[in-house]
Amino acid sequence: MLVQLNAFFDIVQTMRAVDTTGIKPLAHPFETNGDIALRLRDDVASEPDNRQANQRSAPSVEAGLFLVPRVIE
Amino acid sequence: MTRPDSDLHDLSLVQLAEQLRQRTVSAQETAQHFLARAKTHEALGVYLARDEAVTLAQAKAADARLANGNAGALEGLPLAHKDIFVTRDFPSTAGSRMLAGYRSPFDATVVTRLADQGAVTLGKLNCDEFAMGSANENSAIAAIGHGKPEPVHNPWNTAHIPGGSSGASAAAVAARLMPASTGTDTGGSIRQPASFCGITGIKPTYGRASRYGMIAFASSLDQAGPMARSAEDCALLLSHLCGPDPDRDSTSLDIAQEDFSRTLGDSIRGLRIGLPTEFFGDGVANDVRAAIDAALHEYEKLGAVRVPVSLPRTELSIPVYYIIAPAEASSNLSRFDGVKFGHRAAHYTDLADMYRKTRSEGFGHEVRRRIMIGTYVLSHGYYDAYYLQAQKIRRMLSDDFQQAFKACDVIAGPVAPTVAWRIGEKSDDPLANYLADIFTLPASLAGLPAMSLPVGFGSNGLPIGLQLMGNYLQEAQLLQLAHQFQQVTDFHTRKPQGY
Repeated sequence: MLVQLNAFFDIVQTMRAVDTTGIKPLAHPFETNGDIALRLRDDVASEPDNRQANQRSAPSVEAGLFLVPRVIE
Repeated sequence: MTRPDSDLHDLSLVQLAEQLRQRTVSAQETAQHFLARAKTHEALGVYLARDEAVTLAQAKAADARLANGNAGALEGLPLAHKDIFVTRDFPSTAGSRMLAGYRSPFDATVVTRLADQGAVTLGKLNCDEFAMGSANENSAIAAIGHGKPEPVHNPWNTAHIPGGSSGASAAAVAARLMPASTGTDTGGSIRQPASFCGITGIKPTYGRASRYGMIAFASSLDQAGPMARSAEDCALLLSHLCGPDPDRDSTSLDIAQEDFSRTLGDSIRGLRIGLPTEFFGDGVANDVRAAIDAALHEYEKLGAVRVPVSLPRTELSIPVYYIIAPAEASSNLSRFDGVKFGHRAAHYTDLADMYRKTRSEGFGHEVRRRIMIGTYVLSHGYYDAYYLQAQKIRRMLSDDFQQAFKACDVIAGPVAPTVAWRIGEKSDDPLANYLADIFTLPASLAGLPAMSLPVGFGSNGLPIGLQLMGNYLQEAQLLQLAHQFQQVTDFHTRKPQGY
């Protein structure tokens, strides 16, 4: 895998040579079409309690809690 | 009452919708027909999940609505979803061991929107793991009828790949196992398999389709879209698939649902088709080049005008995309830690060991490779040189498109440099796969709508697609252009032998 990763970073070198002075990074592609504000929804609880369904695919659950190996002795 | 049972799978989506409305065929008969076809052609390896009881119950409900006059726009139409969309009624795996058997507690918005219009779900379709791949050789889940994970086959030549990552979505439609399917496109994953399988597929403007419930790969690039045999069918599905989802997807555009079929029949006389020089260089195979040239000639006969344009940073789209997409993927995939859902390693010593083993066991090679690249380019000391630099060039690439659109209405070129390659031919060479994405990456990075439509056949009898790229929100125009071509050609109606 190391050989493949190094081969990949060889093609990345072409990108590093590009002069990008003064260019703003593009995060949301639609920005090119005009200003765009990522919206936030109101901070209110909108979802019903769905714990049982949400934990259906959990690897290890007890009394509605997710179980993990002990972290603090 | 005539029942065109044996021909059901040759009907287009629009034709089938009409038969269902006229009630010359029922939704249940239709579902049964396609479920039976799925079993006959299990060898293609397209289905990861089916549940006859679920499908037939949906079809029965559709028949009831058709009978009492409450039919939706897609009432009774059978389709299947790429296994990147989560579904309550079927497992959702993203083609990954990490999610083997996973059941989502909710449906993706795209799934809900289509179901609300009466579409019937036949099942879930194979894909590259977490949509990372260009050949559908990276799935880690065994398809129905297959004992182990295997590459999906191209129905035009089963020794060849169907493309990826929505490979099964394309193969299933080409083989008439369903009239349409859903796909997702991050760097070409709808357009390239559509091209390789001789069908029509469109990726809308970034933000048009809700990403809620689409298992995230690269959030600033991922878009859902329909895959069908014709532009007319794609327009019908896209009209219902897109629409604002303000409470569930913060990047969803606040733009009302639109009828993308409204201009299909309009003339394209005088429309300017921009041809970027960079898309017609030495890297394009002769058979692809010939088919594209013939298609452009057809467009001239329809009254469109060719205009030379330039997208000078086309080659840079490869490193830029393969920095940005893995960076976002490494962040998105950090949620798979074996705690709340998905795979957990059986043996471990402590929490860190559990994370490590869970992720090493759960992710395949390509996914691990991209997580490593993504983590590296986001790490302290490399962030500016890689990730930020890529985002800056992304803006330059997007600006190049706007420059080009000053001289033309749409941009056309090949979808891929070659036809579908043989299974196994590039599977040990990720870089070769990345390089073959060169023509689909630019529109993805710019967030522009783009589509593939079949325009000919090349070596080994394999299909060739033409790519059309439009400016933001110009999906209707792309579909019009494709539909007008399909009125005077029959590539979209051809079918592979044996199906």
